[in-house]
Amino acid sequence: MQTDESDERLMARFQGGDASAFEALLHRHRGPVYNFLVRTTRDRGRAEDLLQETWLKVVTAAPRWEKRARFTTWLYTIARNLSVDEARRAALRGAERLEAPADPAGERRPLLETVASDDPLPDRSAESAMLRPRLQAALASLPEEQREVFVLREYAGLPFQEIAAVTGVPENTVKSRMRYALDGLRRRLEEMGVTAEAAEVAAP
Amino acid sequence: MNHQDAREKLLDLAYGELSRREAAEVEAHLAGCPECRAERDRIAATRAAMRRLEPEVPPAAGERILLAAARQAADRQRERSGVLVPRWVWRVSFTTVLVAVVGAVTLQIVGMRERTVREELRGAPERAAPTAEAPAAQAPALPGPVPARPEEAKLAKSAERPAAPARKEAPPAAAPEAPQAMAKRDGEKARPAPAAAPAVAEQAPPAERSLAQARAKVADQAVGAAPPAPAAAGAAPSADVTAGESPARPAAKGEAKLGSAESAAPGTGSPAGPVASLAAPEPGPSRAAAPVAKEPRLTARDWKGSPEIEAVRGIVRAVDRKVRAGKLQMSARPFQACGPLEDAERRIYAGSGGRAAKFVRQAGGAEAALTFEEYYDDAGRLRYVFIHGGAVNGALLEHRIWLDPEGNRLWEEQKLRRGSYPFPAAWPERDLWLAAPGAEVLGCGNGAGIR
Repeated sequence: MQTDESDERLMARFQGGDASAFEALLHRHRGPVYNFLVRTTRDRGRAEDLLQETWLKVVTAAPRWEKRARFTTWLYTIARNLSVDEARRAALRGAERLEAPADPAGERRPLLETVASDDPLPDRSAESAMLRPRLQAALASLPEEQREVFVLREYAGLPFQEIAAVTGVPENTVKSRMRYALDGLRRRLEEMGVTAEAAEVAAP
Repeated sequence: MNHQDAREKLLDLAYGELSRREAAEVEAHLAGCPECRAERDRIAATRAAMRRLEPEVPPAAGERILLAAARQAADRQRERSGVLVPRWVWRVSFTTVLVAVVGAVTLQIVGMRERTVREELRGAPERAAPTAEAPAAQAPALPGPVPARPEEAKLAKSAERPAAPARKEAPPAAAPEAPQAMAKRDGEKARPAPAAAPAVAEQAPPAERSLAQARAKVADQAVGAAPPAPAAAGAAPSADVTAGESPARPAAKGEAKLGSAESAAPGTGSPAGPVASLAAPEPGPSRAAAPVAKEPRLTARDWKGSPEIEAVRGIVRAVDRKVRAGKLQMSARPFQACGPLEDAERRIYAGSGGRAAKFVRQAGGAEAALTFEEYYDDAGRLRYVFIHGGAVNGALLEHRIWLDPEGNRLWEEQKLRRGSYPFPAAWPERDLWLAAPGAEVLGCGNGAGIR
């Protein structure tokens, strides 16, 4: 299954009717795309739905993919567009709800709290169990456009130039957002008492 | 390289985006510049800390559907000998591909939240068996033979006639037919369900039932493309018939698909006989809500101007006028915590006595989102339903149902634009709220999504 073939070659093979090429692409990028969606939507359920939509779109839109385009640029653009559309719809629903009576259950919690108290996946150690919510909170505290750039660069591994294509802003803007993101994260981590050393200690 | 240039390249250096030569230049500057070194170290430390955030692992469940979808698409592609056909997967209406892929996707997405895929696939046919109820409901017995006129068969007018067999437990004999409709999902043949299966839908505890409902929707979609075959025993095609490929589409009228030529023809099965035979037998313990059977009165030619339809239109117009004028008390509630195929939001425009004059619900899974707008008369009876929405494949749906005061469907009409999607042509009654709901449906967990 492991292959060194480029994404673009795999995609071309899939266009030609080779489903195993798609499988290789899926194995390579499904996790990173999911992480991108979880970090940007901050909602695993929505991220799961969006993940499926994204890849179904890859399947259905494959014939229209052009060989010149980088696959990851295309892939993350699809994921991002779906995510943005979804957020817009959610915002729209939220706006409509303003006229509704107050939520009787009072279950709308501030986002940060939601993220911080989000049930963590099984952790490898107690230290990392304590560290994780703080890292999540730090990431969640970033403005959306900074978080998006940081996640795409740090976790998805997209070069700045590609992030510029995905987000539709100049590369210089991407880099300055990245600088702000790193500064913001550093400050937040300091406030929460997380230092690089503490993070290292928590490493398994 | 001067200080400013080097400083701006620290980010690129950290992420390995510099050429070897550039990297060497920046490194050279760093050697003599404590300020830049400090900045480099800050970046490294922050990254190191953030790298400790373990990656989220996507649920395995979704992967299998995607692979199935890709295989189907790839097969198609090869069949077409390399010619690129835009939007091929979705354009093929009601074929194996669509039904299999979409059906599988829906099922799996439900499953993703519930159990593992494996369990889902193993369990689905049996658990979906209650949907034998659905075909029974939607393809009610014809008093006579199946009409030969295409326009008759094309339009689903099911509930004009005995919806009575609908809500009662489907005859066990019909059970094995339901899984059949799902047979082609994920390329697997379905196994016949145990004969007792249909009872499950009625007896299961509420939570079970809502799940069954969610699945039932899936089954409906599959059923839409395959003979619903409530006709049961013997007459129906054997188990190797797969959804969408069925050559013999018994013209079970209620489920007749729009624009489907076969559905008008007396199929090679034996549609007329068994279907008709349902009319008389199995009266069964019909539920109180089951409307009395009525002779079909309206036809494709005269339904539009008919007094019954006009009466319904009058009610709808009056309600909408009040809504616009703000004369109805609106209350809404989002349902973010509820399951994927349950309502996402419900909104009531309350009329007399706090009951809904208009009830709007948004529902959907990952592949289709629908809004149900239901209108009630002053006595709180459902008179008009407007279902609209779309599927991710771009297909748009408009579905309208007119009902008389007794709850019988006067007319039902479906319009699909921009592609196909196996929405049920005759909308299952369990998706509708026959009696005007009150504020109680605005709570989650206590009956929400379950009826």
